[in-house]
Amino acid sequence: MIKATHESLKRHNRQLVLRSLISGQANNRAALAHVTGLAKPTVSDLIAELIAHGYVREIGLGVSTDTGGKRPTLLEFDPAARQVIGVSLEHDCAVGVLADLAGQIQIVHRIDSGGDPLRRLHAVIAALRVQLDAPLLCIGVAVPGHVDGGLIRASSLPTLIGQRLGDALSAAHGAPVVVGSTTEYTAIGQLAFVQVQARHLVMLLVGATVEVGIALVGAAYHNGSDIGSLRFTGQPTAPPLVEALAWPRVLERVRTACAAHPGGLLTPETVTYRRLGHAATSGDAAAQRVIDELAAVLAAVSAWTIALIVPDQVVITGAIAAIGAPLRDAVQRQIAPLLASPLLESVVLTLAEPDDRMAAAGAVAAALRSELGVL
Amino acid sequence: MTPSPRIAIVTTSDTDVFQQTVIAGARPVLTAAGCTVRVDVVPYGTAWYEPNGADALLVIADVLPDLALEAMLMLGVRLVLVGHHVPTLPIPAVTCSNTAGMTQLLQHVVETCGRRRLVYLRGLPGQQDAVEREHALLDTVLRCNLPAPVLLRGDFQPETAAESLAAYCDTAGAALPFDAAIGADYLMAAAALNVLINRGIRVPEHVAVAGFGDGEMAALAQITTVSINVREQGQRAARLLLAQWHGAAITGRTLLNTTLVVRATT
Repeated sequence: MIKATHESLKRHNRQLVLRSLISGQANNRAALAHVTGLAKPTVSDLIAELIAHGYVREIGLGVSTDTGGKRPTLLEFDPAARQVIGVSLEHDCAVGVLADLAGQIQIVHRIDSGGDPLRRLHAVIAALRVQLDAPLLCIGVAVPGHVDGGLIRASSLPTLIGQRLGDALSAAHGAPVVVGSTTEYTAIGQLAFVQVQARHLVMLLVGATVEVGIALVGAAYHNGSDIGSLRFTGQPTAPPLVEALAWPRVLERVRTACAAHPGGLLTPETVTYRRLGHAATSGDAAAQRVIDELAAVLAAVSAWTIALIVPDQVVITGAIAAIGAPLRDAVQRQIAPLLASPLLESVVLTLAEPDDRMAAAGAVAAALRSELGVL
Repeated sequence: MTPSPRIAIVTTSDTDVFQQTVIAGARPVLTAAGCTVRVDVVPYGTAWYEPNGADALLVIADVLPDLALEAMLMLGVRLVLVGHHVPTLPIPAVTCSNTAGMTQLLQHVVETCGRRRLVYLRGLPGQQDAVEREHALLDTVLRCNLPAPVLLRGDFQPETAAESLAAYCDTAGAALPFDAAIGADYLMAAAALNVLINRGIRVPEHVAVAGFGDGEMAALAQITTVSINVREQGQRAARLLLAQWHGAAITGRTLLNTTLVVRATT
């Protein structure tokens, strides 16, 4: 059991007030007290502190209440009061964003090179820190793999395993730091910044690894993990997911399909995911065959995910999403026999092309949630 | 007392709009930090640049070849590039996001305005901005299942773009095989607009016109563009340069957002 301290209670109340202000539920001290249930002197003290730190400002007088009382002083949150750094650490690059407190991205900074991932991470943060237009509030970092309570338990970047990255970064950069898995933070980013109707969102990332990210009830619960080593066919000799969906295996499938359906639009030498989708849309049989094979794997993963989590939305992302509608349609077709129809009918399956900023933007959202209780 | 750094801004022109605006953004940041700033105008394609006592260089576009930049690094000169980046060298750069910007422009033309048959006025072959913008165009064509676009020579020169489009219209005849003309920059888009209007082609009713980047001419001609904050590029480049002067090891590329500006031509 964790005992509430005075400081943690104050932090909780501050976040409550800010959430109410930002969401538009209340825009003056009396209304904030009413909406949050906090005593008026408590709200006044919190607002005074937030004004002193620049997060909130007074913007004039509102209208009197119906009972003809004193006109309230209107309050407004200032998203420019601080900035947040979000970084996504990937296998061959690090992508960082600088955002305001509304999560609006001002700039992106990227380092496209291999080498030590931690050096890349520090370098991106350093480059963004010199470009701050406001004091730094906090930092969010997304890493591939599984992060549990700040500890990186598994990752396809071996040098990160066993690290409490947040503590080290916080000490180095003098700001609170949150660390989570790439897919988890991408899911949070989708919920925070993309117009999705879902409350329960599962994101399946197919890239150098295969990861799943879960954000439930607007990310009150969120987590992510690498499932690339799983085998979904029930046969011990079947390749793990990460191999079944890896690009070399896709190329093999393309060669086999082109040999079976010669003279089509697809050529192994120039194929990309985008061209695969374009060829399938144009009726190319080889392309459709490859897509059906990939969809079979994704359908199995999606079916298990839907049955376990019962999400509103499953988003498949990563380079494979560039195939587009032909892949989405094939996955939907192949899930149908695997799931009871009421379950399937309640889920929306979509593809999201990788936006290299989304994981970093999600890291911003996670950091803002941790520090201010917003987004 | 720490000596004030001597900064040279290296450019092919201090009067062209892009370069002038970068300088206008960078200079105040540098002088406010106590730097001595000079502008060195060098011919495009200069094989070698002599720093002449400069401690740090702000290099605009690809005025200096990669070998010259590498030599500056070996001499211990701090560097920042604006409007250009060299992936193989550890020199920080500030650019706009060509891919995101061109995708944004094309999403408007294709998805909002419903155009499908594109003519594209190309930038300079092999030049980085040109390559990235054209790649984004071709990616959009595939993603939206559009017919293959017609790629016309432009070289970032309005006169060349105008000649190319006029020649294509001559061969096409009365029934135009395109419904949108996209310029790799807004000056070529403006040239395209003139060609179309002079031929009695109604814009945007028959052909939509759009271009990358924004400026006074685009606003006057009412051309839809994606705008880039060039002054901000200069400001941020100056900050990165100052950070290096103070000992920070900065690498990577800073990408600034573009903003869609919808005007009468779409």
